[in-house]
Amino acid sequence: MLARVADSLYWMARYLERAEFTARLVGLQIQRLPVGTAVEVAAGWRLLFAGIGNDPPESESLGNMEDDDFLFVDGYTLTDILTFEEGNPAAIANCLAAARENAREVRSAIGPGIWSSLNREYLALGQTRLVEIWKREPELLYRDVAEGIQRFHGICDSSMRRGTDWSFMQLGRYVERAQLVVSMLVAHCGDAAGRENGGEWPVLLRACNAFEAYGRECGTVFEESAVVGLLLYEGDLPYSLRFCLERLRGNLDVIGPTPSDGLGKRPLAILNRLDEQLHDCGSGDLRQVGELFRTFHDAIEGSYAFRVSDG
Amino acid sequence: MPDQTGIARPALLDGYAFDERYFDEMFAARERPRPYCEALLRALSDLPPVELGSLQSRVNRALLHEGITFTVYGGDESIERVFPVDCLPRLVPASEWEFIERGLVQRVQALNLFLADVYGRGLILRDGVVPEDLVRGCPNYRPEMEGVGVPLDAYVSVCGSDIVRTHDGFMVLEDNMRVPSGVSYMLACRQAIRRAWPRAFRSSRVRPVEQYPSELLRALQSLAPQVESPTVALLTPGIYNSAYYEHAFLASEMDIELVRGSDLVVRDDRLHMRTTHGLRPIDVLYRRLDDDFIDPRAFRADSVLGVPGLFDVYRKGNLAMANAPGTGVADDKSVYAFVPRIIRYYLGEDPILANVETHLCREPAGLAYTLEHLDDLVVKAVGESGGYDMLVGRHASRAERDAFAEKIRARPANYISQPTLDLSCAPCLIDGRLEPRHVDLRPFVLHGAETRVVPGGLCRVALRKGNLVVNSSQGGGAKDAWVVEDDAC
Repeated sequence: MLARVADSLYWMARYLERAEFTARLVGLQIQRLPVGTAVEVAAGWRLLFAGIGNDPPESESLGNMEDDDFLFVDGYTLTDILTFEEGNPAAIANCLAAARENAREVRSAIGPGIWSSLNREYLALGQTRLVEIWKREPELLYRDVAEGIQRFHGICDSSMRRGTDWSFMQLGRYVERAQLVVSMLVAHCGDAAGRENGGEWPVLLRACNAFEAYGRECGTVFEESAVVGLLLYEGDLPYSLRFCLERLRGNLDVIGPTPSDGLGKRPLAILNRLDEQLHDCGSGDLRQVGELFRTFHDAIEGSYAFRVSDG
Repeated sequence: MPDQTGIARPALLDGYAFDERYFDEMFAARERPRPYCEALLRALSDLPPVELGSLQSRVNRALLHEGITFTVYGGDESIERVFPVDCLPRLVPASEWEFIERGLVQRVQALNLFLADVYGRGLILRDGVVPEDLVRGCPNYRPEMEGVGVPLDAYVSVCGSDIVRTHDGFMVLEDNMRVPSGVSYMLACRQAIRRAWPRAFRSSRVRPVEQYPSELLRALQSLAPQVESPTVALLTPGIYNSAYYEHAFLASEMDIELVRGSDLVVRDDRLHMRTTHGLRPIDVLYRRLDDDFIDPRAFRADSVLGVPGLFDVYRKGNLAMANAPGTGVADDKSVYAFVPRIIRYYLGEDPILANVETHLCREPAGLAYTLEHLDDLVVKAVGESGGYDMLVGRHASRAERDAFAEKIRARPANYISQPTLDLSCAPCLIDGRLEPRHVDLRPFVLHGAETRVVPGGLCRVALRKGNLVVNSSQGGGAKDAWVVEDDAC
């Protein structure tokens, strides 16, 4: 397939994964506004921004958050930054726009049904004004966005041929997911206040669709080692790194190494190193795992000629 | 209440402004529908008025969600708009269609012979049937193509000719032989409108158009007869081009790669595309890029959309391309005036479809006539398309006419004039009422190993009341065109 098409499919899936995960996190955070203590809400915002690698605009606004009076007002501002802020490339609307732009590039590869399902989600969010929904169940917006993206994946899942098109999308999806999960874990493990409080793990587990699984496996006490263990090793959970690694390996197999040079083997070599690293990984090694995923991304771009030089 | 045709007249036909100056595609006379329109009118009369409003918004929403948009350029801005589609189709009875079809096949065959001749031996020029300076001086004549062998002599593989009708019958208004667009709108319109009128569609026995992409693919493949299963790719300028939707749609339907210039590279005298697994050769390129931009080495040096060296590969016969470079000389608005003579010269037949009377301002008599009759004429620039740089004298102010006359005097060879045509009308749903609007029809002709026309085409409609310009860039919209059996009801 065309290298440019592979590139666009890969990035389309990455942007969608990011938009979906962020939407779920923001939705969960909004649900806490009426019930959480000011300290919990502030910790939630802090971890959310840190986890998705987004700097909060003014650190003092998070300080203010520990005051009930500012909780909703600042919540609105922070929600807006994460959802619509034009200057924030990680904002959900911008991720969806970038995904749609990439999808437009590959319209002919993904077909009209898949394209129009993404176009609909993009148009729907574009027609939404936060100021209009803020006073009535704003969390519904985030549920809709996340569900819309899941619906998109559902349509792809039931209609796309399992060839290289599909596999490049899956690479993008699981690279992004693994990086987000690692980054969230790093943020949570390094956040003393959150850890002492013990109240942030359930939110992360819910964002990773792993809350119920945790309850079944580990009970109702939330401990760092148990959460990290679950999100790293539990291969049946779609948000665990083990699950992501298996998907990456399977799809790399479908795509196959590039014939031209030895470079094509590199993504596979990095996956093997990730496997080894995960065999004996504590929360202290998480940053290194994150680094390896970034290297994996670079290897994908290099091996499949995403960036055109002289051909 | 039933009228004399036995159909209950829909209430919304009351007050339909039938205007006998124009041929009406649905009504033979006031309140007298043409027989082949009966099924549609019956469906219309069955529909409660409230449904009619929602019908139009359903059609619009479907087009928006599918991203069926085009780009309008004006000043520094470009705006993406949903392509406006009227929810009533235009009906063409099969007997009329067969006439149009024969006329188009004749025309496209003759013009392909003309192109092979002017880039080859030049017999028609030597015989003085078409003035040599007019052809060689045409801005779209490509001397680079002289002596270049073209597979099957198929210069124009895809042609979209604009056909209009007046009380005098059908006429070809212009031929589009470079990179005609609109076929995806035809297919999208068909989907949306068939959904809107399922029963009428069935009982009118509408001829299908959905085979267009597979027929196009077959025509393209036939251009590489020496290769068993040729690799075909569609070259697009990219997502910001106004017809990008169409490029993506056609590539998807034909299951071929949609490529941009940056995806392509010339190696070992072949054109290749860059894939995830190295370079892969291309046999046939369906390019949706003007000649100027396909190869910065051969044509415009500042083009970043094309591929350096592409034309060399083509000239050596290692690549087939549709349409061939240089076909613009056959749809030039001055050469147009000679098409009836071109048909007689090569085929020895009278033209089936008439031309519109055309005055060439490059000739003193034509210039004088044009300037004397500006208020009755439509003046067009020969090198332009899309309704740009034209004057509809009847609708222009005195100052506008004077200003245009200056332009004509400054560069007479750049202009032609034609009488203002009383284009036929078809009823459109405007604000919940039926109103007549002027229409034309752009059928698409495919020419490779054989010549075929998909029954129907893009029916363009001037949605502004009284407007005669149907181009989408000038506020026009579209209708689905149904070729129906004459006795359907």
